[in-house]
Amino acid sequence: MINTPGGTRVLLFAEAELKEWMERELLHLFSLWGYSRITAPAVEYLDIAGKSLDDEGKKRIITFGDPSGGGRPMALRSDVTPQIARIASTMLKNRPAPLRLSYAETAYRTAAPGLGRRMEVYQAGVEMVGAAGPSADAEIMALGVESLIKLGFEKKDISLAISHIGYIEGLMNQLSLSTAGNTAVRGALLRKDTKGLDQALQTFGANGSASEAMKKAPSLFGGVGVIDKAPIINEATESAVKSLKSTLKSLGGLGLTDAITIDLGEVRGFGYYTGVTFEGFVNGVSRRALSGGRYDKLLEVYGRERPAIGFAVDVDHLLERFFKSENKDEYISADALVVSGEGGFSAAMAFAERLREGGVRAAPNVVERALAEYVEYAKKMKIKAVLHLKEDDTAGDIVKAINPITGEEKNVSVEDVIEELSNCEERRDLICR
Amino acid sequence: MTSHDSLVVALPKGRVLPPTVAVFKVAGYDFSETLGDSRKLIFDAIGSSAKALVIRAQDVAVYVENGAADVGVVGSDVLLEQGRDLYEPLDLGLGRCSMVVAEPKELSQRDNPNEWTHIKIATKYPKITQAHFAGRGVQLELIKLYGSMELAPLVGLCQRIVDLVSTGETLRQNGLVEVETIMEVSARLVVNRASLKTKSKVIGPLIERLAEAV
Repeated sequence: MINTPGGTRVLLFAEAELKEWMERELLHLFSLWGYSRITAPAVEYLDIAGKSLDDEGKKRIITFGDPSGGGRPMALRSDVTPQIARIASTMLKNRPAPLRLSYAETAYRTAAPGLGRRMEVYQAGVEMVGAAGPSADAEIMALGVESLIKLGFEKKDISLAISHIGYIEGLMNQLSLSTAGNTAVRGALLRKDTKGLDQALQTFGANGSASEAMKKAPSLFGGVGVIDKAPIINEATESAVKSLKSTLKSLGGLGLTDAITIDLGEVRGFGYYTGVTFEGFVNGVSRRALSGGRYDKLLEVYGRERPAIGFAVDVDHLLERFFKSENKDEYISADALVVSGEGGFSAAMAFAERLREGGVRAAPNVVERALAEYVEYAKKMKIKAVLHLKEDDTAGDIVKAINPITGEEKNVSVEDVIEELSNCEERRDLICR
Repeated sequence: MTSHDSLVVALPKGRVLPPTVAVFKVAGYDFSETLGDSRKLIFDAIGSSAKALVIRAQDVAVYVENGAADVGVVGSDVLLEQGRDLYEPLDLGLGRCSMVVAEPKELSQRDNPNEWTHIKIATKYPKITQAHFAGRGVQLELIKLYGSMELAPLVGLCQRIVDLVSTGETLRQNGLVEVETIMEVSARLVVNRASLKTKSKVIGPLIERLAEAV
């Protein structure tokens, strides 16, 4: 059987174009907001990449030995943000802050079983390096919302679920449980498993105000008002709540209040997050559309301490949304097939070139076939017109156009074809809805 | 995914359905119609725009994880075995039972589970069983079966099984006894991750009212 590894996918035609379109739109938007594009290698050294990985990340990274470097362990990029952090801390360490950086890359992770768990994760995102505080947070979140609008979603359907990892960290520190205790509590929080949380707190001997506050954490989600329900038990929880409030105030100034929900009990996200974290959702899409957060301690791991925040759009989750039901492998080839008589390839090529200049995707015939066979081919390939050149015609202006579906024939000029087929609406509907 | 304003609830077929419908009714969602003889798969709640899907217990978590339903009711055994990306904010306390290791009575009289180093076990729950014995440092040969675990020791397929036990009657009738408990099992409320964030106005109160009802 000739197949690809589980968790990888071949994207065909319309879907491949859609992915490219999404990335192009996003990168263009990022550039309009003043972000500079970076591309980074897909392969890195494990000892360097590993410095920014938490336990979960270590489980999911794909490794192998460097065949030319004495087998030094290497890894496929499992996450783009730490790569950008490394670049910012090394190659860009002397550039003034804030740095605004953007990317569209594929990250590779071992595929967990189950539907939609991918080995290849398409991500387009931004990182802002060297800026702390609510204005930087608000810019990043506003750009997140704008990204989804750019992809065609309506603002009213977009929501941002915002959290602040400092709140739970503040409770965790006060509890000071064993490593096993922390893992158990975190696991229960991840699932909002109130029963499991109670059991873990009891098993690992948690008590006091931090334990009581922790029990409330899974229910601290909902509207902005939820923040005031969060028990403040120490300096860390107070400062997290304060920081979240000032970020929300900045977002309010941008008119984004309606889009916001709060989830102070959310611990999902990368181990390197230190402050606000957020996930974007779109009504009608059952998986998250984007996610991001503040990571003020990641850059110093690579030598240059600077605060940073960023997000990435989950391009692969949104691909599914665009192709919910049909047209997944809609073949997108030429609009026009130019067929010449015997020996007339150069004439067909020349005619096709005139169409291309007018924005029509055109291809000449390259194998000898009867015209009727070409019409049949065009029909199967969803080519919209077969243009038949006369044998002696090298650069004729009038050609016979055949509609492959109806079989209808008419004489048309180059200009007619260009007018009818350039900027093909049907194609745009498919790609840009 | 389900639409903006109406809630879709995935309910498990079988013995947990009637008590589940009862607690949902107390919480304000009347899915009584699901208890009739109808062969329908989708039911409208009486007096609200919510809908219920009635599906196999093993499928509930799949529907909710993928957003075909916003919330669902599923046993903690299924959740742990399938390991899905879901919220499980509430123990409904319904369909209580235990997952246990059982073996023939005569074997149990001379057997000490604490001294196991290498055992063969038949089960419907390979992941949970694997994790349990890995945690205990016991090597395992696993036989995955789909039903009637109790038969395996009777015909010599293997001596020990991992299965759910509520009254213990089935074990007794087949000459088996429980020698170790792996976990207590009960039905949980599960919630789709995106739904919890985008429909918190509906789902937040639902969790609160269900918590009061159970």
